[in-house]
Amino acid sequence: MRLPTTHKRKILVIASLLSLIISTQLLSCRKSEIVLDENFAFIIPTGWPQPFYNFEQNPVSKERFELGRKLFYDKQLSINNSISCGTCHQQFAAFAQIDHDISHGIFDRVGARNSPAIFNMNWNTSFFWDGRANHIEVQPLNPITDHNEMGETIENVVVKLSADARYKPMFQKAYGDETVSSQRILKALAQFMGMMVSDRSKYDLYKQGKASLSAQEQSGLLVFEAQCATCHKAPLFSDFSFRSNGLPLILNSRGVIDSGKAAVPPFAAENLYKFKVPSLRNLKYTRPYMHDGRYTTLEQVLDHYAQIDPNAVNLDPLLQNRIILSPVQRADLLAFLNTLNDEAFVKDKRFAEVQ
Amino acid sequence: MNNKTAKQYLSLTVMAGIMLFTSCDKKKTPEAAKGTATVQIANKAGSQTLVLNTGTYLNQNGDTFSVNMYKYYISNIELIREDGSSYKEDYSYHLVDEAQTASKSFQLKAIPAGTYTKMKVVLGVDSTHNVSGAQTGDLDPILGMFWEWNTGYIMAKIEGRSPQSGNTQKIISFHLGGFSGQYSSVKTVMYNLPQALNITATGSPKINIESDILKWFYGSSLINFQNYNAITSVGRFSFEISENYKNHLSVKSIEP
Repeated sequence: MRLPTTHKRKILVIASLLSLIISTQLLSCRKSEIVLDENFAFIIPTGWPQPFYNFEQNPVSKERFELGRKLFYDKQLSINNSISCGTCHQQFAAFAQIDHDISHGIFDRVGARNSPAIFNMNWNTSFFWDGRANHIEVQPLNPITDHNEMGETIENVVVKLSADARYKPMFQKAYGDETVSSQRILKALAQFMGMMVSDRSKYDLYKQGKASLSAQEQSGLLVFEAQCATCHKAPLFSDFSFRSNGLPLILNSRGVIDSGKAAVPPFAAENLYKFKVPSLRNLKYTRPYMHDGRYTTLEQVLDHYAQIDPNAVNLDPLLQNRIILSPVQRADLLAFLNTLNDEAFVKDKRFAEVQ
Repeated sequence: MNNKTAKQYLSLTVMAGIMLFTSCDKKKTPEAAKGTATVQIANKAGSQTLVLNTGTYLNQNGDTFSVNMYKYYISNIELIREDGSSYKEDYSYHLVDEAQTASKSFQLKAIPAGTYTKMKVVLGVDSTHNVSGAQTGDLDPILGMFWEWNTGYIMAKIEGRSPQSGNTQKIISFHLGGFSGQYSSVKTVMYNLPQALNITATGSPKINIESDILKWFYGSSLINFQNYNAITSVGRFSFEISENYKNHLSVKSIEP
């Protein structure tokens, strides 16, 4: 359509005026929101899948994150004010607990499983070794109330924090008033843990074209892809499924064999001895390994995969033929796994305890 | 700028002004009248009023028992007209707790005027709200109706004692949970209202609902406390009880 220039100009003027009106209207009709710090956002690393949890009902703000950080390191979350989340989830251990095969809780009680690392939580579809919690926001209720971990009630945590003057300005800033509620506590904790993204390893830089792998690391990558990548799927290095890797069935700290995912409803026999596939990121920091921390070195882990009993109950079919590597392949694989360690993450000051 | 163009700009500005000032009002179509109704709940054991701690009751199997806690969820309340159109309560989650008088009465608000003949509810908490993270209000986990060891709501709970209980402490404890799969205890139930419910802008009708705790123990399966006394996770036994429990509520009367 050809129009005289003056008409075109008029249309342009009208169009721009209308768009101005419409945009003003949109702004004026929007409900007031807490203004978020523009530099503080959850960013999905390039090439990564969409996360399972994306803060849709829990908009990210620095204030909520900082509240979550304080809560994470607050021992008041346990019944005798002796254990915080950070006790068994240490930053230098990529938020696992170094050198502890199983966790120690209140009154020197011991748990039955190895403290799992915390990072890239938003991509997890379930939580704990057996997937008992279905959402990052309700996950902390389990350790808070567990008899052997923190032994507290969420009701009493609300009471304690309501009486703690230090929290008043923090809740005020995070939520607009000083009211402490379980939902506010849990959403703040989800912000702190959900923001823990580990995506700055050498491998990540390599994928972004900012670093190159050595020849040995390259060979290790090929071994990894051939032998490990189905369950430990990149870029999270887990497919978050539940599998049995054929670990010998030994008695745990309770004197029983841990039945894994079969310990939670529907208590199905098909879930016996299955545990969640852990990520292979940050292995340098998260030792010991496996759900009960039975292996202290990656060498031992690889020894296990080379010696699996093919008749183990519920053994994952993918491991039926074991993982048998030559000494060179093994060294190459270990070199590759080393590129998945994210030092920037374990030293990131945002996640450290506030002194 | 010539006169004609000036006029055009003026009219545009006026139009813009009008749009700016009117845009936030909802369309002024004549709004249908709306009213409220009160849901009033009475917890019973058969024909007896349920009295916590001191009351003793007899189940269908002949076991005597007392109750020290009785809590259950009613959610997703819907009132339905003869023509099938309906009113759905907004964020409809109600925890009824025998120990909390206030929990046994609540108001349904902004119901379009009209005559309703049916009511539909979910006994328990719908699966969506079992998988959506930290909740508040009647779904707050501080209310003791949440399984932290296996995410999900306890839909209904009875705690009590019975001399016939197979438990060494003679305790009975029934926690019905599970929001998905073959043993789900979430039940959707439809009730024909005993009288029509007329909602008007000024009226304040009452829906009288009764829960009969005895109905947990017969119907689909006859429950004896010797064998059934501690149901605290999801499985075949909790499902058997939940198939009885789905009949525990009834709409007794409508007060105009």
